Amino acid sequence: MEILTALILFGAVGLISARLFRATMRVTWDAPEAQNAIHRSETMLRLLRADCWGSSQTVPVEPSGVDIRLPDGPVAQWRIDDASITRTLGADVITWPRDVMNKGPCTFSVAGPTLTLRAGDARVTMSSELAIVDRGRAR
Amino acid sequence: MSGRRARRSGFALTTAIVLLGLVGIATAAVTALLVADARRTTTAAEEAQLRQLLTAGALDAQARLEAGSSESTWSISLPPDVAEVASVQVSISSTPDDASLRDAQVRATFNARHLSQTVRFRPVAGGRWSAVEAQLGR
Repeated sequence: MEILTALILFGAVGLISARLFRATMRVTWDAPEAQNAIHRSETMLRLLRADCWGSSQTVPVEPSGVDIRLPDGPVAQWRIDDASITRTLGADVITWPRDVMNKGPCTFSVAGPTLTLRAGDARVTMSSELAIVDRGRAR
Repeated sequence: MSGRRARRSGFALTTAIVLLGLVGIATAAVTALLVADARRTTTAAEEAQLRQLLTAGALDAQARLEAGSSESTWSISLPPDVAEVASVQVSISSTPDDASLRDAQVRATFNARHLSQTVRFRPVAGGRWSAVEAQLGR
């Protein structure tokens, strides 16, 4: 009886330990990965916001892109496809993996001085300072 | 008999310590992620506030240019509850390459965080000034 109890306990402890070990490994692997993903998306959004902040014109491009005209003439082209999000400014091309943002459809939309990036349920809106300042003067 | 009990309790203790260790590692990883997420949320909220303050500074600079103010540096007066934690400094200078243009340097502070921008203004008809360039700094 004692041996049977011990065997059952061994089995239970073994089972729980294995599951706990797997879960721990997954969490310890996923946590830094999630941190890296956050840093990548922040870097991308910071650059997009900086482009938009100083833009003199923002034009949506079908199917899912936007051209942001910077004050001194060049155009920053932002494009989203199934695999990546790309920013092209002259010869300078930066690409992020598509899953840098949340999963789900990822699109740009432009309304007046604001540019909105939608990714699944998430939405990031940024504005053109030039348009806002000139709009403020017009009031 | 007592030696066997001691061996058994030693096994239980070792198992418990190993399990606690695993749970501890997982908890530490999740806690680090949650702390980073909370910090990111706070940062995002403060940066949104800072951008609002920068816009206020740019509009104020434009208004003062249009009013013909001779001041080159000033602080914007903010509502009392905002002023407790925030401030906006503006300074205006001529650009080196074109004396008709003006650069407004706006620096906003919210809690311990700072953000700045440079807005370039050009005179247009009717004594007005139009923003022609805006560059977000850090």
